[in-house]
Amino acid sequence: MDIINSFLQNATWGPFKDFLQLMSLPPERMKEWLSFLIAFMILCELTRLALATVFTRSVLAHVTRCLLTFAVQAIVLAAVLVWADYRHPGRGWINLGVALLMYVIWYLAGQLVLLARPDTEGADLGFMTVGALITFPVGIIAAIV
Amino acid sequence: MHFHKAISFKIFRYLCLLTALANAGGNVGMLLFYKPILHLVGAPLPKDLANFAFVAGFSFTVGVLAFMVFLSPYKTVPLLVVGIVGKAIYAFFSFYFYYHGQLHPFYMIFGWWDAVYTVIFFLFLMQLVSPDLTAINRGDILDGVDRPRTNKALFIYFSMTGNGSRAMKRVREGLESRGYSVAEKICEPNETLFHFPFSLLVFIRIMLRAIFRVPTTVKPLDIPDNHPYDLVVVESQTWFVGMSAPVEAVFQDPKNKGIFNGRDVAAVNVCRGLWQRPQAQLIRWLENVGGHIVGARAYENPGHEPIRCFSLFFFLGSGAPGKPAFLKSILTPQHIGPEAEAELVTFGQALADRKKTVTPGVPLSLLPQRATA
Repeated sequence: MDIINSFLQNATWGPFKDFLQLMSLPPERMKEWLSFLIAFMILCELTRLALATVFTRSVLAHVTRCLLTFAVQAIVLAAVLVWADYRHPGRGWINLGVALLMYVIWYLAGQLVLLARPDTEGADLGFMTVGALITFPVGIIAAIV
Repeated sequence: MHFHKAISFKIFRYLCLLTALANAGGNVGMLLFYKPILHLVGAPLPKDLANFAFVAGFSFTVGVLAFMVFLSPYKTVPLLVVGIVGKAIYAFFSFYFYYHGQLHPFYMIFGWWDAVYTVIFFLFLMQLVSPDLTAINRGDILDGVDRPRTNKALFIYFSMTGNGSRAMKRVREGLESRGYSVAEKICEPNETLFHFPFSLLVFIRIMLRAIFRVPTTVKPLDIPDNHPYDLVVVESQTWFVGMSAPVEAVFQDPKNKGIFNGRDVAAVNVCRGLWQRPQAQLIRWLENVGGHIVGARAYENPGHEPIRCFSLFFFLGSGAPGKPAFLKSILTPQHIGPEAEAELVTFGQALADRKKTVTPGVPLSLLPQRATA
């Protein structure tokens, strides 16, 4: 029992706390969160497109692809905008610019796949716009309030 | 669909060789010469030599992995996935510890290298998977099975808004112009849920079922296994990134396997924009029930995004095209364009003119190397 207690007491949430802090987009750590968000957007879009033709009977693969069509990226960015504005008030409009940049990255990542596969959809600007209708109103409200 | 020019298979292979040499050779070099190298770049000597050696060892392993992908890309697709995960994690930690001041800038060479290769591996992966689909999307009509031609074709489809019917009408025109007669079997769902126009509640139910792939059932097609059709063409729309439930139900019923088994089959997909996965699902189902794929076509509705996407939402919401009236001038059509229709006529003709294969039932898995190498 002591071993288990000691094991649990010495566990660290450090990296997760640090990550949560990073997602508040602190101005002094701009390079860090920018790198992370860019990587996140690229990986989401590449994963979505990689799932296009494989695991065709898998519910998990299908749900993942559906979520990555716009929901995950849009909701994560909206949550980041709210969290960032809560932790660093006054930067709401700058953060909206960051979100816009992420949408550009998202689009470019999708179009990049056209270089690899001649028969692919590439970025879906339609559903990206639906995503933008989640991210930006939330971000604007966070910036105003 | 549009068929784009893509980076060649050869270039991706040699990019794999490059990282194989860099990872495997570079890490052996680092282990042998880490003192002069780190001195040269002004980086401190590793505090934990054991961990330094472990990391070099793992990185060397990824080099071996990349070399195996270079040697035989189609046989090592899962290794490429491992490579993506390994390189992404390595890049992530490189950046993380660099930003925390715990990693000398010299090591960011490897961080950037792996970040770039994560993307390269992803792109190569997408080129390698399902290359048979690339071959048929290029427009190829594959040889049919070696069995007597009856010049009779069977169409199986379910069209809720009429777009699929429109597409199949054109394929029919093409086949009939080459002497085929065509019979149609429209899938009739047992559930009344699948109808159009629909209420918001019904739309949400169909949407959730499509996302979570909840199956449905259709009324028996009543087509015997020894039917006279030498070609079966199946059409499916995109319902939330996947093939429509009523068409999938045809394949989910084992009684229908005989309709396709050992026959030439073709696939047609029409949609707003996301055709790739529904097409793959339809083709894999056709193969699963023993069909011999001879061709496939996928078409998007005309128009530019994002208005095309919103036009679809308005169409589904109002139950009719061109609504609301004040937006009529910018809303895009909810059916395939004239160019696609003309291509589908040609597709029907090409299907009618398809050759017979010398060896019946050549597995499609043999086609990719021919198509992409």
